[in-house]
Amino acid sequence: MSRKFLHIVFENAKLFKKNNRTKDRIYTVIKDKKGKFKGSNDFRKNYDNRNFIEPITPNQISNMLHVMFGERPIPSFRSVPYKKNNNIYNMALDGYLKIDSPKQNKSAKDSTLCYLEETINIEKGHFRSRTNMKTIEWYKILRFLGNELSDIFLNEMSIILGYNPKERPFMELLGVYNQYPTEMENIVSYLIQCKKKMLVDFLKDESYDLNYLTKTKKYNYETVNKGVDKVSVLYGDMYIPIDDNQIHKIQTNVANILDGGFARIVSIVHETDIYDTDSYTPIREISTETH
Amino acid sequence: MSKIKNVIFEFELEGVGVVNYDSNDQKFIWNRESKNGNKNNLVSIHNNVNYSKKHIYRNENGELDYKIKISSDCLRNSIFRNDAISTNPSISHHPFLLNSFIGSVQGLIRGYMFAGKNETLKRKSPLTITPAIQTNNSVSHLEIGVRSGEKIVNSDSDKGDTTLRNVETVGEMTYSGKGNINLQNLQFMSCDTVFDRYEFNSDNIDILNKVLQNTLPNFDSELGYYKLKSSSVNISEYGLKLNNENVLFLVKEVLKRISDISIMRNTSYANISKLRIKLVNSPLIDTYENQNGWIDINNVSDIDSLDFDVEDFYEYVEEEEALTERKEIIENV
Repeated sequence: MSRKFLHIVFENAKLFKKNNRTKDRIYTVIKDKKGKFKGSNDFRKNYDNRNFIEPITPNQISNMLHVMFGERPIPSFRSVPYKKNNNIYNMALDGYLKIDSPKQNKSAKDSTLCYLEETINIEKGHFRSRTNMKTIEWYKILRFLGNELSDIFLNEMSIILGYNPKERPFMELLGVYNQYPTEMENIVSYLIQCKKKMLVDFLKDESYDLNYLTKTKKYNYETVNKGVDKVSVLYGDMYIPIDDNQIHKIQTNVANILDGGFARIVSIVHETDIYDTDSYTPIREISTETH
Repeated sequence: MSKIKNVIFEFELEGVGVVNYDSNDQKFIWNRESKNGNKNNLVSIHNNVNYSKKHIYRNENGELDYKIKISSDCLRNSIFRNDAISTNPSISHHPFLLNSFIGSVQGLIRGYMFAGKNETLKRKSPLTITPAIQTNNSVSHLEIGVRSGEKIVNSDSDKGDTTLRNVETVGEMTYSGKGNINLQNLQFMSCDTVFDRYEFNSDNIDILNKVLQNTLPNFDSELGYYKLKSSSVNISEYGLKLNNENVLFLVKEVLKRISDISIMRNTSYANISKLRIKLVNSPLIDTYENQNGWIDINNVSDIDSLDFDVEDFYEYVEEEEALTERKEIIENV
């Protein structure tokens, strides 16, 4: 009697290759000093040996099957207190995989075959996403000065200028010291005393550097939360052997594979109905080596 | 009434022009392919090239061929475009702002990851959607366009930064795609790091409860230990289990958003033209290939009239029992 196989088709499986320059962050679980588990995150690039050399390994296929059979997937690189279901893992090992995504030479000089890549958006944690400020507005300056110094500065400048400077753009104060050198002597020396020389340079129009604000974390408001990265988008299909007594355990016909990959059960087929077996790779032969 | 395990759907889009662009690094793919002998109309020597996102495959002759696609990220942006313009991770500093996002329809369905220094919150999206891939035979080509730019700063000449560029254009387009709503993920909000899922901080449950009461109809869930029925792992998980009415509401909300997909750009657009869903009771029978059991969604009232019972994936476990089970296992990690 011929064996039965689950025919599973997958598409849109995004593969992040090892990239030492990526700014993408990954979710991790750590144990804190009190021994309590805690959700945390880290740069993807910080982890050596956490990228499989092969694009899809038995671990990913096993996890996909775990979800289809109503079990929890087991992270490949994070420790969790529960073990994988060995029956499901063995099913994955006995299966056959074919990736249809085209390959091409890596470059004109390098003839290594690689999957094609496309560019996608990634998100960054806000505390790693500060950028140099392109503009300067009052609210940034007031934060830079602090509440007390802001009041003193605005009062003094109102008396000197004859109007409330906050009602006009901050950039209008560029070089204002050159117009009122005597009147501004006190406030300028007070600002220097309070270690706000950047503002004094601005008032004197002397090689001021607005980026000074961005170099000090707490003054910086401007962030860029988005970045870009390259992924290979994989699609293909696989055959996974299944016993009659396992069929009723299937809980869902759709699961994820890799990042955002959409894997779905198409049908159950008999071994004799599978043609073109040469183009499929036995999953058992796929290496789980990392780099 | 039979209980539903997941909801699958198929959709079609129609429009004009390219709505989703890739980076100009794509030119290297077509230039290399041309050097290999497959002369194609996407070869360019310029640096300014706007290529569409593509589903690339090898045709019968072994040459690279393509269909234009709208990526799943672009579709998801469009599905949730009316919920929030953008999500700024800075909201993680403010417990009320953070929990109002976590408890919103967008947070519950789209998922999130707030990477913070002290704690990181992550929810896996119950919605999976494939890219919408071109189904008609329109052929795209590169057209010359102009990009305006400001005068180059610190330059003595009056030269501007205006440059010629190539942009990929196409005429009428039709696309199709598939998706799935995983009711098991939708039904449960975990705050248990032991299970590698930490979706909210249980210290802020009062705030989150208020938000969920506003978002979901008759929200009555309580924080507690729940066991995944189908799993052989005998450990209960700490979190919130949404009731049948809440899950049904969220499924309807996501279907309403999908039925309203509309991607608009200056010179192109893509709108949804067809949506049909299938309520999956038996995973091996209710497949995409089976033509029976599909429900056509033509308007909002078709979605409002949906009524089904969701499978109870999780069952409540008494706290004392749960803690005893967990103690031994966690200590061994």
